[in-house]
Amino acid sequence: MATADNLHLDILELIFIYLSGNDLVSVALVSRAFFAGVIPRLYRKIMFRLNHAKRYPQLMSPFRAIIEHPALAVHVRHIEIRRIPPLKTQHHPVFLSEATQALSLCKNLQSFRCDKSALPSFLAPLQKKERLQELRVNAQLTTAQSEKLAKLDNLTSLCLDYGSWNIIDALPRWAPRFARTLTSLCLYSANELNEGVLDQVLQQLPGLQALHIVGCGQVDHVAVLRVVSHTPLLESLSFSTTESSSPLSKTAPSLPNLRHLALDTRYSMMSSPAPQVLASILNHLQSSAPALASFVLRLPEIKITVGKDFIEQLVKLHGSTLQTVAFIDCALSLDSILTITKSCICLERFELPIPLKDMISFASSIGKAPNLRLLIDTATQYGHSHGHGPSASLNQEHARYVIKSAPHLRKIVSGKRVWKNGSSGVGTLSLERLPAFSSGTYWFMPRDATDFGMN
Amino acid sequence: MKNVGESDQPIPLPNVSSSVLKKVLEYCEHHRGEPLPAPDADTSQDDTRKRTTDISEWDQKFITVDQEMLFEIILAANYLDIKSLLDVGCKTVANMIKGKTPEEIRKLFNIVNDFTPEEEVRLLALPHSYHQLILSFWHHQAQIKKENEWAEDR
Repeated sequence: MATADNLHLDILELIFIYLSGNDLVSVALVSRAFFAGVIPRLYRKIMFRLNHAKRYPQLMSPFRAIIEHPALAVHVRHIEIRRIPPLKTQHHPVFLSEATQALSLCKNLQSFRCDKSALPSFLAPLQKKERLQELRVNAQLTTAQSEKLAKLDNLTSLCLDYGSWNIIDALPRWAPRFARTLTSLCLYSANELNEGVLDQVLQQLPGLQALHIVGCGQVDHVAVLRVVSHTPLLESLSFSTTESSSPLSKTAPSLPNLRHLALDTRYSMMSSPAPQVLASILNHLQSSAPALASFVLRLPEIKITVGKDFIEQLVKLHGSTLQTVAFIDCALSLDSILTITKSCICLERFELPIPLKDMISFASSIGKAPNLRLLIDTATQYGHSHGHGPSASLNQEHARYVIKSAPHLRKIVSGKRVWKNGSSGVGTLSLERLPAFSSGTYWFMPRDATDFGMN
Repeated sequence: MKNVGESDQPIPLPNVSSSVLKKVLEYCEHHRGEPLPAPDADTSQDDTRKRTTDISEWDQKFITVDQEMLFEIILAANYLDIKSLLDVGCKTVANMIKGKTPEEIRKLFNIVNDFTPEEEVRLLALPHSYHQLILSFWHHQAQIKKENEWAEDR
């Protein structure tokens, strides 16, 4: 007879993939077999976050555990260091040395992420990782450190945050090492990046599928739309727009595979030329990227309403293909919401600031979208400090009301809460809490089903 | 089983009873024509993110069976390499485990607690950090082994 007691170890491991946190601890305490089954799952991905850092060194770090039991190291595929415990004003030296030692033991490492400026300590152990494919690091490096980082080869995904001029300077020389393998490149807030360097890099990466150049002061939409002529296979593209009125290149780049577009809109004044700029970008890309499935727009100020004309243009060009639409740090008029839900028949995921004051018209607009599954309130989800404190979030009554007019909706996310619509009708609305930590992907990245778009 | 290619050779199913096979066929029939998951989808994409435990409505109804049948289906799906069915089964078991204490999990699946009372005290006395938990457990095991060896030597 088949029971949980005699399931093979490999099946237990498959089950435990779907568990996390305290559930894993409970499972470990059930029996010897469960204990053995849960270890690979516990060490597959090591994430060191704020709540771990706060309790260091009272709470043992996973890196210490690996040093004491090197057999655990084979299970480690992913390491994410989000926080580093401080000692006075510096990174805790004991922690850094533990993490460095453990990292050199993890031979099967596939992805490494380090958000804080501690990368220099990890450069040496990162060198010999044959399976390392994905790297996301805070790249404030010196020239010598940049040269070391630029020795890593065969990466498939590279994301550099706050890259210093040294690493930006090394990029064109680094590119040949991953020219054949890299599919995704993200440069975030690299103020020293200019169009010339980016052009040299992209020339070498004709197979690139995702490019995100956001918050790099010297590279605006005009420059990005010029250089992407080197990367015709792009499926996903993000960039920052400015008020620059310099004309876009005459011929639009050919991007027949482009599905995801994210625009980080930067402008200062109220009577800004930005709306015209946004319109010109959509027009420019019309022939090169005829069928967007995902569109994300972020404005610099929560009080600014996205222009009605822009929404109409967006819907006219891509309404029949859009599945995901997201509006961040801005307002959206009820008319615009209705325009979107009425016209985008494939829409599955809608991220927007939910207008709590107009729930009646809002709910009926949402009911117009036949395939909408997920609704995310961006007024509470992307908590950028505007000095107003957290905005009010949806309550039970609001959620019931929306689900009543849109019974196809599966989930509504607002604040720290997820309202789930049970499969058997309106009566079974259930409430869950979002995980206490965020997935940490950037707002401009393409979404996937498990990501609730938190910052 | 289309991906095996056409063949007149019978596939031996020593571990799959007819009632379970009927269920499995019902599943395959319903999902016929759907694209197969990419062969390495589980190692690349899902790996880096937390997997969702959502199950579609039809699958949910389908997998609402008694526990023995559930585990038989999981074993059969594993043996026949039907990945999507295996996923549904594993997600269902995971959802049953969520939020339960170790004792509740034992009761749920009728599992015998085979830790010694001593080990259990040690495990439970620890704060909920699994790194500490695992280390302490292994240290303790190593200690017992040493003591036993010492006893045997005598």
